Amino acid sequence: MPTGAQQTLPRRITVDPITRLEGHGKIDIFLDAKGEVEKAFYQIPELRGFEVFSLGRPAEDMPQITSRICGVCPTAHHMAATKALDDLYHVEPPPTAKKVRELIYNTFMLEDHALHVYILGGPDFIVGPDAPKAKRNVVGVIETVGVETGKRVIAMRKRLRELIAHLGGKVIHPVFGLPGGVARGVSPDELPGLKTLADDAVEFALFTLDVFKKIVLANEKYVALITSDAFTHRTYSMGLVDAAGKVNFYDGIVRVTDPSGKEYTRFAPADYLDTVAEHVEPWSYVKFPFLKNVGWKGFTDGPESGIYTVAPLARLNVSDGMATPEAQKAYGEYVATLGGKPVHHTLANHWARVIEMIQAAEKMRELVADPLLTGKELRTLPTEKPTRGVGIVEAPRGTLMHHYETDERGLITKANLIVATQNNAGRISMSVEKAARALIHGGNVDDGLLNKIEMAFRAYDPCNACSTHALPGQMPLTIRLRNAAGEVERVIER
Amino acid sequence: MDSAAPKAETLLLALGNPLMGDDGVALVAARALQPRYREKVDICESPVAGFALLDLLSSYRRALIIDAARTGSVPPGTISEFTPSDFSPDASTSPHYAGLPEVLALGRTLDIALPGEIRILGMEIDEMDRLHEGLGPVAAGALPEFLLRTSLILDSWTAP
Repeated sequence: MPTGAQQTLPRRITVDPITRLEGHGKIDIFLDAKGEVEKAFYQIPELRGFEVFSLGRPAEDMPQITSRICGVCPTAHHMAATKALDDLYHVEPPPTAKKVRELIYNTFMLEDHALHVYILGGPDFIVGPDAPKAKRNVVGVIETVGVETGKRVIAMRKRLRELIAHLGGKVIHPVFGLPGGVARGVSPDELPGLKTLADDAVEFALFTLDVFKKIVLANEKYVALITSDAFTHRTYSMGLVDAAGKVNFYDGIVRVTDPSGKEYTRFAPADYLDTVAEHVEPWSYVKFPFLKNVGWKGFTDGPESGIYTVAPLARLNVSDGMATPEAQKAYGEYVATLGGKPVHHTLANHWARVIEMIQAAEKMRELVADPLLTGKELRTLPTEKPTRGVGIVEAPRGTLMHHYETDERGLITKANLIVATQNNAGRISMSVEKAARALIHGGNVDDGLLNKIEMAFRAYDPCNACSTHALPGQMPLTIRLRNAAGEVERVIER
Repeated sequence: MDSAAPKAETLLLALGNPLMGDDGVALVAARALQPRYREKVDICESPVAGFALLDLLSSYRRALIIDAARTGSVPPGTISEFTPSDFSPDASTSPHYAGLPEVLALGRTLDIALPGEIRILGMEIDEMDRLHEGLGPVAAGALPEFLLRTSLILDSWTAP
């Protein structure tokens, strides 16, 4: 193979280049003999080789390894892996270590959610679904919310990221998590700065709710779109809740509610395999998690179908409310406006995300005021032999599960991850199928297909980052139309 | 990099994932160039881009971004130079894909100081979605040229 050859590339490349945030999404749409949509799938890129890569490595390396898999939510992987190590070594971190972890984690949730609300998902709502494509980008968002707001968002994100870097070691690849504790604590002289940041964070989150109300909720067309049937699926929901049944991002019990909102089951992280199984479509390597005691009934909703959803919408569905006062207030308004719980409107994820921002910020303030945060006891040293460990956190995009098994020296013999977007893959497929059904008839593809599909899956904030991501490379979205024989008839790429 | 330390005028930003084989080729290059340039240039390794570029690029006068590339239009091992204008700002479907053009546009809109000159070198690679460490033979073979091309740009910027 020739190497090092210098060559001029075409001057215009149709794919955004330095797109390390994610791998590309793949969508397969199957048509019947009449050219009508039979089914459609959203396929998240597979992370190949993770199990093999992990085998024989010291379990302590997993928080670093798994946080390097993903450039989007390294803190979530780091935390899930650290919690899996607690479980693996049968250690309970001291209260101070838990507080430090929670402070870092809530800061991360706020920062990541803010990015989505203003920048990643903003084009759909802040600019508007009907705005011309040229405006549906970040500059269009800034034009709508105003330059001062834009500056405020960027400045707040920067301060939050600096705090994560300060407490976590590194913002991109945090290094604070150790089995049974954390690598560093918080000293009392850091508190004034933390308090100012936490207060500003709460104000910023409440301001964001205000922006959302003014721009989105005051617009009847947007609200009609949120509640429209095209963006509604009555599935099960899954998420972590604390002992009081309130939303918790860092820890708790996993609760699953049925499409009517009733609790279907609850389980401790270690028992996740009693509830979750993975379905594999014969045409693909992609695994679709489902509730195994309900069963896999295909890509359909309702109480008979084991498909469930995760992420902000699901977290609010499974909980008895928010854990902090201002977030609870916003939650009450959300539930009342959308006709009570559970909420099954996919696009309401955006609203739920703003409410979670408020909780994350208020949690930061609560933790900074907690005397335990500056305690000296940072670690419970493991003394028992490692066996099996499962760690679950709520990543911004939903429930994230890490499962490791080791030999008695602590070397990995088995590793399994179920990432948030994978948990959502079944429901995302259903959303894509609904959009495809509305737009494809007699084999003719409506030009609006891509836009509608994008809106449907963007609300989930899907993240394909646990996969490939290089310079120009792959198309961010590939749609393959397959005929009744399953052959690819047409490929649409953007 | 310590955010409190004064910044150099020039940034070498290496993008890549060290656990994805050839995808990490720019990180290998950046480390190799450390001893020679660390006095004159800030060298930063990052697995992320998108809006993270805003934080990374701000306040530099010049930036050279090195990365793995998979255009599919040239053989693996080929090193190509890009400029931000090579990439269409409106071609991406997902705002997750906000890249350099959007970051630069955002910087302009919000009066954030971003480099006046940005050059990009990419090495074509052919596989990136399997977890493994170390470079394959093609990327390793093309590494000397990658280092040379990177050095030529940095030298032209830092020459007395």
